[in-house]
Amino acid sequence: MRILEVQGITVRFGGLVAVSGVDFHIDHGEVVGLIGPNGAGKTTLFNLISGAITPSSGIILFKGDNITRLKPNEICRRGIARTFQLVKLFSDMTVLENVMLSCLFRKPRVTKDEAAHESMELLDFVGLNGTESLPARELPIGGQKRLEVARALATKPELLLLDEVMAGLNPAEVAEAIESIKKIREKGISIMLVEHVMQAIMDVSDRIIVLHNGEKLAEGVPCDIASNETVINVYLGGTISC
Amino acid sequence: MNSLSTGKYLPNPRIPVLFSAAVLAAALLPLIMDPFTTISATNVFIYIVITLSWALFSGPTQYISIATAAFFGIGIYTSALAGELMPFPLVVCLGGVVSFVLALLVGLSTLRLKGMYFTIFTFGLSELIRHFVLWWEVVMTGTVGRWVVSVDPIPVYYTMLVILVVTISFCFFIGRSRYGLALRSIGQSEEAADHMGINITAVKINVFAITAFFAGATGSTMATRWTYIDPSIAFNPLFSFMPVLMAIFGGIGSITGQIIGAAVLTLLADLLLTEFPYYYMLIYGIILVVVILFLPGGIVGLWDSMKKRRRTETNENT
Ligand SMILES: Nc1ncnc2c1ncn2[C@@H]1O[C@H](COP(=O)(O)OP(=O)(O)OP(=O)(O)O)[C@@H](O)[C@H]1O
Ligand SMILES: [Mg+2]
Repeated sequence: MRILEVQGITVRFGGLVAVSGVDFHIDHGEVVGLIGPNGAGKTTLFNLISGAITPSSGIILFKGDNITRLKPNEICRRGIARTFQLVKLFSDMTVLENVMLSCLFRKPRVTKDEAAHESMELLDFVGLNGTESLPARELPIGGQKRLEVARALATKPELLLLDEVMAGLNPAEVAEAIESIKKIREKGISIMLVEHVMQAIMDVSDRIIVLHNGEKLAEGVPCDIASNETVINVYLGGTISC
Repeated sequence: MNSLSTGKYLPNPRIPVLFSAAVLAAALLPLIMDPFTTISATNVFIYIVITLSWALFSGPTQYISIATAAFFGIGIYTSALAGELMPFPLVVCLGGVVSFVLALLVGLSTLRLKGMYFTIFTFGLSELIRHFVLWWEVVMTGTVGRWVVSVDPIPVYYTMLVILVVTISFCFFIGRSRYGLALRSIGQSEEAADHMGINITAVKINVFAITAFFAGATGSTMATRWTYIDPSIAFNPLFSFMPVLMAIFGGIGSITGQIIGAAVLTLLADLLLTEFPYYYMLIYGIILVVVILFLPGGIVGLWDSMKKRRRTETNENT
């Protein structure tokens, strides 16, 4: 069963075609990796799915419904959440308030106590326990990325878009992040993630999509992608294990 | 769980008690004080209401509006036009409703602008309304000014007290509701707020319009004290700038700060106007400049940092 289906999606910024006729789908419960060189259009593709920008052409179906021209808040309420590559936290609000906000604007409504309780559990889950009363801006960058994830999870998504949540983490933290992603998936949430940390992508993804100059260059299981000549030439630069 | 158990999300139990006591004292004021004090207190209430209503929206969202004069003035003109047709409390409500509707329209047309563009546009729009009313009066009615049915100072005082109590309560509950959090999130990252499932357009426009209701109702009340109005009195741009100054002066992020800022600056203006009529604006300006330069958190910010300093000193002693 497909949770997301993207058909011929294209977006232009002036003369630049940032995403060009991309087709792909995500199945229920699947983890799909999205890789490609800098400027390939990965973040732009997330922006299209989450409604931050509207495509020049093409359609996006979520659970069979056309969501192409909906606003971000409508798309969120239907069940797609995301994180931002350049973190966009509510920096003067506390860590707890950042997460509670997402709970409080969900349907069905929850009380403030329920929201606080659930938010504390999510902060525990991403390893931010003990920081809840700090202003979000005081977290180190790794903590801010985790808060982005907790805040997105608090909207109770069915599909989670993670944009480089591992960038800037040390190897131990990357290993933790991989475990978290596997646990999120066990909750039944489908995931699409952009990452430059190849070992992580190969480890968690069921399927990988490669983007290059806004076009889909290749798609397949991690081992096929790791040994694909074109992908090695334009992006990987050498063989990696899968 | 410390931030939960410190009761950050539960109202401080002292607040309702203190608030009720203050309201009771205010209700008794006209019985024990001379008429001059009552009138001066009415004036303070007016500025507190327009400061609170301005800061409720513009404070957390950082959409700095300078359109309060438009909503206030619309309230005044509603009073002038409808004052003879219906009882006074109804006139006041009508003034609020007309301002609310106007603000919905202003909101729809301006809230997609950001930062400086929004600010300048709100100012331009309120000037446009002023000139439109002036043109209408000159061309259509053949006069510039109007007479307003006057109401005694005492009922005006009590009406303003009611509006004040409603405004303070509203600001208090909004601040603690999910909409309070949403307004702050809009000020910090509108895009992220949108992606967390908040209908940011609806939140912004509705809250903006409700704050205009309070300003409009206040204008309708105030008009009955002036008896004569014309567009440059009713839409005086000072009514747009004063709430901004008063909120910054007292402390923009706190209801207490906004109330203190509005009260202190209103009384100060009254005092300076009687004592130093020629230097009034000059002294007023200097005081504002000094406060803005040296007290970035306003009076309340100064108070907080003094408390913090005292606490660290006692910690060091133990
Ligand atoms: N809002 C925008 N306006 C104009 N150009 C844009 C906009 N957003 C992205 N672009 C351009 O589109 C292209 C794709 O950018 P995008 O951010 O999607 O790349 P990416 O694959 O996420 O790269 P990275 O790995 O560096 O994050 C880039 O050339 C970028 O400059
Ligand atoms: Mg990117």
